[in-house]
Amino acid sequence: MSLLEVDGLTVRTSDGRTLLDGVTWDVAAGARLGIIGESGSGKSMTALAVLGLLPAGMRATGHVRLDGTDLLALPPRRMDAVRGAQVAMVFQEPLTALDPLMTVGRQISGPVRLHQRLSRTAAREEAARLLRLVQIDDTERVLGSYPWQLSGGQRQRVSLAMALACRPRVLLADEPTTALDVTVQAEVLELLDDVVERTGLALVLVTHDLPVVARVAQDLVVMRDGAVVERTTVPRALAGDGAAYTRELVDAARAVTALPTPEAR
Amino acid sequence: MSTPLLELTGVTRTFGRTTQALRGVDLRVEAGRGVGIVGESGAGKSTLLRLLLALDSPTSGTVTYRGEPLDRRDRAAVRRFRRDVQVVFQDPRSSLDPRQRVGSIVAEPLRSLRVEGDHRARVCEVLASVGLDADVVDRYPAQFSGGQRQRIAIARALAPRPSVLVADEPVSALDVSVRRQVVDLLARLRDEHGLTLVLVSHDIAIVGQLCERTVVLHDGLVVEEGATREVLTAPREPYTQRLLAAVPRLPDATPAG
Repeated sequence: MSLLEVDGLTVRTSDGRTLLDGVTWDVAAGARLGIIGESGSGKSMTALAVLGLLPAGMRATGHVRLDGTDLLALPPRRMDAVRGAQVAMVFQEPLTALDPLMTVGRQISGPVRLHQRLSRTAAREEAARLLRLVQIDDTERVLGSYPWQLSGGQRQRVSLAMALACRPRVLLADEPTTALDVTVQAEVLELLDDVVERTGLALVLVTHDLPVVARVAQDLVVMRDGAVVERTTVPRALAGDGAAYTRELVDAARAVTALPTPEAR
Repeated sequence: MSTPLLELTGVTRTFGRTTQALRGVDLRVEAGRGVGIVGESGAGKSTLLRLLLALDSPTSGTVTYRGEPLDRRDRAAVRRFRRDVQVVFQDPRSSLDPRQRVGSIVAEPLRSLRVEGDHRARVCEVLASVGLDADVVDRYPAQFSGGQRQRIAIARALAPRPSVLVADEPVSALDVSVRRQVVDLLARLRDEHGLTLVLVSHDIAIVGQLCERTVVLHDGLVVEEGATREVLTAPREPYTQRLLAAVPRLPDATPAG
């Protein structure tokens, strides 16, 4: 049974251009869905449309159902209650996602107090618990730090902790590791995997990077020019079954990540 | 051993009192043997790049070009150096002047380095060698895709016939299918023009595809260096091993056998 269902999602600009055309996919609780595409494929716009965060002048039609409730039909104030609380997000660049003037402690406990109506102390304790969930050990130091005092990997862990603050049922992660070093990327991907395992939320991972998707997701949506090319699985895509465009992406990803092989002796 | 094109000996670079970006680096770039410099954020890649391009001077140690220290105040010497050592940056959206036409952009090093000869003809020649038609000269960078813009940046670098092409993350800003085309282009240019590539990148795979030698930079020091094939298939240092293990790769399509 799917938890989040995107059905015929179409986005048009006010002057009538179609940016997303009939995008359809769904994800179940505890599942990991990857959305892959190159620049201009519409993958990030899909994420924004699901969150009701489209820029002014763009209009979404179709359906985005969370447990049967159509989010596109919700009035903005009800959508505010869904966003962050039930569908949370993590973006590419944690330095722009985090408020530079607020300590990590205040940034995490803010939404916790807002959505869960906890006292200041209880919210602080909850913030520490969330940091431990994203594998930050020196929670007291990090809670008292400003974002610029943290490393890139720690910042992305903090924004993940914020996203998890309200125990969302769906986590949308848009290129969450693209700005990170490879060793840090590997840790954050493992962490995402672990969070899904432990919390049972549905993960939607949006990225241009097929090897990254292949590490985390099973189900795969391939997008190009604002439309879904195919819905498949990672193993099927890697085996070369399915759309020609998917095969091109897989071949290109293999070619650019290929390492030399040891010389035959 | 022949005189290296570029050589760094015991180079350190310190910023302010405490930030040691490079802590004693030795590096040789020999003609025809491309070098890939890999490392993560904070390793010192950008500082090293600036020293290799004579855009900065070391705090201690020496940087030589064809066996001689380069005096950055000697303008004629710097011009000779710049004709010979050219650079391609990561993001062609910021490295190409949006208000200039492509023809003028590609001819810029010919003008500023006072290269003799028919500039217009040279521009068409290098555009052809990166796979662009001569009629692009009248267009502006914004009219091109990311991959095409990177081709324009490469053409500009090739214009003064350098022997060394330094490329700073040349494909990181590009889509994966385009990335492959630009890597193939760099490989072809390296062979056809006898270019020595110096590639600075966090992307180990493209270094593997383009450079004979690999230098692993970590925390301001060279932690490992050697033939690329050896460094990437049998790394000796724990840091290199960690770095390689962290690179996401697709599993093979077909099971062995």
